[in-house]
Amino acid sequence: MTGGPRARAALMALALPGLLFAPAARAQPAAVPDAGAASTAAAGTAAAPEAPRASAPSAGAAGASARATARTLHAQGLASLKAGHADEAERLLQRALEKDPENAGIATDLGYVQGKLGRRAEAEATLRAAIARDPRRYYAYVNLADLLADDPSRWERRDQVIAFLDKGLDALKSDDKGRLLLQLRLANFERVVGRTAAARARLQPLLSEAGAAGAPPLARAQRKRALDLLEAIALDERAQALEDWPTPAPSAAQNQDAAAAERALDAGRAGEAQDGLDRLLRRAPSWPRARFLRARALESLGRVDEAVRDLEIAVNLAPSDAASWRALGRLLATHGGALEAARADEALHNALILEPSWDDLRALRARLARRRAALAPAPAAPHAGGASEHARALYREAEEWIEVGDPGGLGRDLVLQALAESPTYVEAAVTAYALTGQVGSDTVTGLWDDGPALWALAAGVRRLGKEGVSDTLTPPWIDRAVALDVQEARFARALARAGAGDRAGAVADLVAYVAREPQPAHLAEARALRAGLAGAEGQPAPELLARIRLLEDRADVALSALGGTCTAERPADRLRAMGLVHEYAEQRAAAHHCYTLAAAAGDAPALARLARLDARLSDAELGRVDRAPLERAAARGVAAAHWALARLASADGQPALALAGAERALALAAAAGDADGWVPAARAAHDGWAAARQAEERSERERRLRLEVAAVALALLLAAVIARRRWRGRTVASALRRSPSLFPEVGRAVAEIRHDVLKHRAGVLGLVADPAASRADLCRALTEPQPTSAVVAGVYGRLAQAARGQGMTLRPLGREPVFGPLTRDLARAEALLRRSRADAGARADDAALLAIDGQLRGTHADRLGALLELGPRTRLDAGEVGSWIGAVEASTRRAGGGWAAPALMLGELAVDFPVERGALNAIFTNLLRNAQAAVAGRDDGRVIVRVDRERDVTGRQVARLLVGDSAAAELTLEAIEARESGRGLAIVRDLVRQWRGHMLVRPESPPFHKQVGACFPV
Amino acid sequence: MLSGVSAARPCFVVCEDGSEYLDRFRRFLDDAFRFAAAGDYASALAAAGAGQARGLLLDLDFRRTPPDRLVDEAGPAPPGLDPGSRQRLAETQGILILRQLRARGVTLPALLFADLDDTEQTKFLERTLAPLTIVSSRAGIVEVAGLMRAALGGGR
Repeated sequence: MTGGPRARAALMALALPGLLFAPAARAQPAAVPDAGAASTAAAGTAAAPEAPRASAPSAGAAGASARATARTLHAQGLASLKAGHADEAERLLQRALEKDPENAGIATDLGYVQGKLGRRAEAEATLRAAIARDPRRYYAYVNLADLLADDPSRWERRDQVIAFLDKGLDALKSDDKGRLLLQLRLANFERVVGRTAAARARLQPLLSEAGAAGAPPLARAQRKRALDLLEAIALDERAQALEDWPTPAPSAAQNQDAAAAERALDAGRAGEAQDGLDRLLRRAPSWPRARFLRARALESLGRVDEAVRDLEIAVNLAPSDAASWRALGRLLATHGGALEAARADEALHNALILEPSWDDLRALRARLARRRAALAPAPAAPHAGGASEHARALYREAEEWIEVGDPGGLGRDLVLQALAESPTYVEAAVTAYALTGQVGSDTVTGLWDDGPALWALAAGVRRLGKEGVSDTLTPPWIDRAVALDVQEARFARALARAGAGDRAGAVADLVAYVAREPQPAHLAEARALRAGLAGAEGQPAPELLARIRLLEDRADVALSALGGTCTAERPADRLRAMGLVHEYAEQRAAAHHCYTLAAAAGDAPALARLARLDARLSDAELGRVDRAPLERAAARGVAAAHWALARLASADGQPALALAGAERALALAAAAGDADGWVPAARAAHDGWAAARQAEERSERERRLRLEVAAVALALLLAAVIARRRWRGRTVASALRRSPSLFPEVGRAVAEIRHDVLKHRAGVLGLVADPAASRADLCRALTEPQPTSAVVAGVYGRLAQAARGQGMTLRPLGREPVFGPLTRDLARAEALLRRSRADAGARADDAALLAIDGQLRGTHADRLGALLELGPRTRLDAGEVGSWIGAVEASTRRAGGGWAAPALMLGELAVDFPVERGALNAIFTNLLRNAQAAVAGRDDGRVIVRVDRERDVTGRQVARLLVGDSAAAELTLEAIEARESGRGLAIVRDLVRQWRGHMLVRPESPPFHKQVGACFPV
Repeated sequence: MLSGVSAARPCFVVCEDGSEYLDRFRRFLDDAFRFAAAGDYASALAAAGAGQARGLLLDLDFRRTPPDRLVDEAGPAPPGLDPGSRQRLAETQGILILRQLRARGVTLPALLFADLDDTEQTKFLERTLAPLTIVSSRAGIVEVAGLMRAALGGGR
């Protein structure tokens, strides 16, 4: 048989993975010439002409000669065909058929050649003529089936073609081989028009043990053909189901609307998001992303069924959208019952194959395994047109007449009456069309807004149309029905458009058809038609092929189909597909190897896959990977790469870098709607790192604050120290007012400055006015052996030290109002005297020195004198002395001592002592106690107190405080001087000396014996 | 004993417990006066009695002078002075020396360098120990020279 090998090759080719998407027309190498020479197995041709047929009874010599010529021409035609000269073969076969017009074999081969030349109409006509001449000649059927399987009008004519070939099967009842071949061709035709279920149903009986009814069991080779075809059908279905529909690209405005809806969703405003998405889907019903988003919104609103519906449509439109599969599976698994378990599992399976990194889906699938069950699809709703009861009665009567041949045209009249009664009576209109070839305008007008009825009319009329005759009546109706959203009409129009070569229109209709509902009735046919329209050929994408095998859970087969092992020589997309298979099978190392090779070859998707795989690795595994691909992937905005690098940064002790990476990864994942398994971990890690970062920043802020506070405190302290050094302390006058006991020191200081500085040294300054005075001598007087300013500073230093000893701090010298200016003037005078200037300058200096001299002997001397005026004055009068005596008496009596009431003699009513009150009181108390002690135990003991003032031989006024007693015991100043400090008269001694007085011990007139006391120059 | 005294310039006996006055006067007033040093009462008496001295210049405080060379109201201070008495005598030694000199008939004009801060005391001393001028530390050397010339009767 000449066609056998080629047909077998063609059918086997269907089983090859590489031809998964190839339409039948391309998969099939044309048809089979009817020469029957098995030895001529060259592709597409036969080698020998048909053998001479039995002579027709009416054939004459001319007829025999013509047939002989025909055989010759036939043989020559086949030879030309074999040689690849199809045009020449067609011409020869045409001549052969002219010589022998009844020769079905020649006609069959001519039809084959015509088909090969692309002259389909002629080929079909020729083959049909051959079949008409010899209905049992299976080659003609086979060639015709192959021709029509590749015909653009096959979609529209599929019913007629299938019916015709079915008749051929009937005609070949007695030819098992021919019948089998035709069945295979018929099944193939059904496959290419999307009727895969019918094709499978046609093939399955052939494979049963008993074989098809009445047919012998298949031979091995035959069985193989059937199995190959079944495999091709299965692959077709799966591949078609996995192909995305070519939906229109969304406009920028639509993208913005979707983004806005997504933001609303993220913000928890599901209602607002749904409203926006409703509007968006009315404009772009076939945009999967909009479906996906609206499903999210609906789910948030608790409208799960509607969400599922949108997701089903989304995955139909975009089967490669893992997120939609995931959402659908999760939704069904979560909210669906056992009936949805199978679909949920299927969805999750698809999602997992597309994204093997979603480990959570594996667990979900495991839970679903217990709930899976099958669910029978719901039957389609019946369709009915509107008609009155009278019209229906008329129509029923008409049918009765028509069944008996409509004698006299009564049935026709009744149908027309029914239509007149109810113009929208679809059944009647179809019947009227069958009888008259026309459809009334009233009917069309009446049905114009009734989509289903209009489609029913169109469908009925189309069924009655002659095969191959162009239908001019129904297209407007179908268009209208489509406008009225009739699914079947949309699908029919897609078929019609495909048949008319309007590929874009057909695809648009198909997309709309698939987008209309979750499970459209002709989904498989639509997919097959789409595949045919897409003109897909050659090998399917490696990822698609892998997905098919993985859906079968046959990872090893998937790998074998892809080529086995990953090597650098393989194409990048193939390496990526193999990596995907390995990753699905949890063979991460192998997957990593494949992705790495593909990425190294510049395959961007593989780079993304590699990053996502790395993101799933354990910390230890991740630490060993090459970072360069991850960095390249991160540069391309792959979220998983950022996450993996963030983990590595964290492991490297770079928390800030890790946090930034995690933020970037999460942002990218959110923007892409990515639901990778690493996202929750990344979010948790990000939160932890962010918290740690915040704590660190808080700690840093606190540390910085502490430092700032410390710095401020230090600055304040420094300022306080400076201020204290600059502004602290009292003036000497203030110190004297606060503590009069400082006065002796002040007096000594003033005296020293007066004597040593003003008198002996600065006193010469007035000589600067004398030209004869030596300036060097003047300079030496003020600067040697020590500058006068330094002398004053030294005196003041001692005074300050004395003040500190009394708990006071004097101002720094520069700020002291008496000593400071004095020191400055002296220093300036010293400086002026040290320098040597020209005459004019010298005169200025002299003037300045004279001014200073005036100040020294004026203001400064006054100020120093004023300090002495601040000395304490303690006035003693009778009352004061009496109270002091009373205090001493009280304390003496408390101590148990005796008391001799002292006499009191005041030289004046009151005497001022230049002594601080406390010191004078201490002096008096100790003097009186000493006297009381001296007379203690003696009944005649007497004590006297004298307070007076006198001017001594030097003219000084001296205030005296004396206490006399009657005790005979001697007392001398030497004895008092020898006493140890801190007790009795030693205290008096020390205080008197401190206040620049001196003690007296002198005899007293009887009854007293001596006086002991102190006198102070006033 | 006076040293370096000539008849051309009037001579003043400088009585002090150191040499500050003498040094200063010799340095700045040497062209107009001659000066003879006296460290205590005895030397002052000797210098004043030598006949060449025209005046006396006395410091008030003689705290650097040994106690045995001090004089008191009655004459040479008794030995064994207590510190208080010694201080008192030293602080007023210039007055006490002049007082003793006046008691011995020395009538040379005298300038006593002292910040008495007591007008009554000043008047008292200038009256009882005349001819005497109390010169405070406000007086510069130019004024001192004037006072010296005034003390000699030459006007200031």
